[in-house]
Amino acid sequence: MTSDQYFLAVTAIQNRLHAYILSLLADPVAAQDVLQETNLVLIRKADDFQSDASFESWAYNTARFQVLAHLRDRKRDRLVLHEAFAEKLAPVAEVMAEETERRIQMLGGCVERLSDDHKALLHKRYGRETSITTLAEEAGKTTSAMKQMLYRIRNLLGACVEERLQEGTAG
Amino acid sequence: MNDDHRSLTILIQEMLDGVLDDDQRADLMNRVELDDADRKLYLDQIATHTALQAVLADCLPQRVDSPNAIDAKSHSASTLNSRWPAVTTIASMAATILLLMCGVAYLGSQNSPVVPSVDKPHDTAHVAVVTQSVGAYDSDDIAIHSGQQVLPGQLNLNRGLVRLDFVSGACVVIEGPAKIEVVDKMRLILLRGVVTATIPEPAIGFVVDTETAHVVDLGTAFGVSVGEDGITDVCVFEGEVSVNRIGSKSDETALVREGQAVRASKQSPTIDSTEYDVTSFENAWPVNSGVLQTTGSIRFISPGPNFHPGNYKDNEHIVVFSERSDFILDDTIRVDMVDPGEYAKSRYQDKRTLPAGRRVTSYLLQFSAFPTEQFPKQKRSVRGQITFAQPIVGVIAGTRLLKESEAVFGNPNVAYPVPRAVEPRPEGEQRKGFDSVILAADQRTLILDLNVAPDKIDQLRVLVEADYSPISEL
Repeated sequence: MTSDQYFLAVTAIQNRLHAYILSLLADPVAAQDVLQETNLVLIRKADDFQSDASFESWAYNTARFQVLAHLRDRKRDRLVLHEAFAEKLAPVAEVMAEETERRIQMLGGCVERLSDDHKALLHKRYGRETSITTLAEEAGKTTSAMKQMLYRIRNLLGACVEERLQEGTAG
Repeated sequence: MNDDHRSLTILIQEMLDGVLDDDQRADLMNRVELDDADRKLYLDQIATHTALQAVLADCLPQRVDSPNAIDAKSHSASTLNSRWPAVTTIASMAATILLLMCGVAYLGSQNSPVVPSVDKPHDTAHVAVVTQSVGAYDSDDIAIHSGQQVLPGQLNLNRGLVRLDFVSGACVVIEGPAKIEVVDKMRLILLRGVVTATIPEPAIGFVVDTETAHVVDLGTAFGVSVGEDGITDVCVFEGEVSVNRIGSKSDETALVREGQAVRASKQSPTIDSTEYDVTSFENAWPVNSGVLQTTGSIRFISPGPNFHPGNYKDNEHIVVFSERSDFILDDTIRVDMVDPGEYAKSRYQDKRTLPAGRRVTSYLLQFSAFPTEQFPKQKRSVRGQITFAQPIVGVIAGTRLLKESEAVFGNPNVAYPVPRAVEPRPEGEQRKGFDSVILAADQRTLILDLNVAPDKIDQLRVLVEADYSPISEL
């Protein structure tokens, strides 16, 4: 693997690494930090990567170590619980993360089926990361009503993705 | 849905919304760790959440003044000029995340077949390959990825941009929504949408047909659009094309040259001259020219005889001009930057060189502050980021090297102003008003913060690796 290919591989795995790290940490803010730390390590250690090895395994392993390092650095009260959780979840989280790209492919079509209002709402929430409180204020709803609305839309999308994934598997 | 399931879903969503406290997080972890069904629900919700973030980010190339523009200033105070200093890594991360958020898929990263005419790799009957895909989805709303091979047949693009490299060498960028029929390695039919094409010598004669026009390339770069009303517009950026009216008794052939445009419609039996207006091609053309994305105040100039650095005035944007494409250096050339880092002045004898024989494509980036009647003494300041499809091999930012390289890359008909170099902040200098040019560690992205006094100009010449087409007929 050339250095160009290596960098492109790091770029290509970002969504998957994000999903993986987020699931191990159960904390979206920490997950962003650890994703950046993982990227730094991946880039700094580019020369250590054996080109006959699996890049994905290398990247997930790096991410897992960064998750554990992050937990230890923060010396959380429940360090043992968090570490055990991350270690136990890591193998299944990797399988889930590898599915992310397919989900992204399917999701595009599912989002298109939504009403324009719902699309705009999702775009604000996920594309621009507008807080639920702000969304609620803009829409003149309570925070709880906004949460409910997003919950329903996500359920619709989740069902749509599952359906399309099943169709893909069946096909 | 039972109550347990619902309460877990709420807990997961609250986690994703970042509002869990430590006790709730511990509760969530315990449930996920102990129960297989809960674990599956947890992982599914995270996968959907991550996918939603990726899908719903702004996915088309950013227009000027985008709110997503990276703040170059925040990077410029960091360490300078070592191999992997903090600044370049941060810049690289910015570029990486930017690309991630916009779903840009690079060459070879994916290979699943997603459109009827795009087949799996190793199929020898393909006529083109998707080499870039920017937020592109087909008619079933399935993402199109680079690396996919294109067979003859229908190719519908719901949205986004794809670049197809034909085995003949023709490079065509399609902007959705578009309906295309790929006929063979030398011909496509555009039923609706926008395409821009760059045709190298081996592919001269490449044809774009529409319902009303037969466009034959004569060695050139051009754009064709077909609107909802069926009207075909042809704009020639460089060189020459011939255009015939299809479905008319007239057998007149119109030769359309650089800077000219024609229109064909069912309402007229002939090919009619029209105003040269490149607005429709502003999204597709940069991809064709090797620019993957621009953010902030950077504007890519579609080519034309009246657009060159000598006469183009824009006080608000860093404008990007294509110069020489796939050019083989016949002598070594000195450059100011090769490695990732921030540009700093250096002695002439310490400048890095690119060897003779290297194939490069050059671009000129320019920011001017010409005095206006209303604001005759106003200083101008802009920021932006540009990502090229190919690696940057050298950046020229000093007046002396800009002048030297002009002989090789410049337009001989253009009077380039002097001085026009960027002015980096000297070490230890705290005052405002200096320029910052950062080459990110991805080696493809430049992050710029330029400040220009009235009547002055900043220019940068960027040399990127020539885009050898990896496509062959094998």
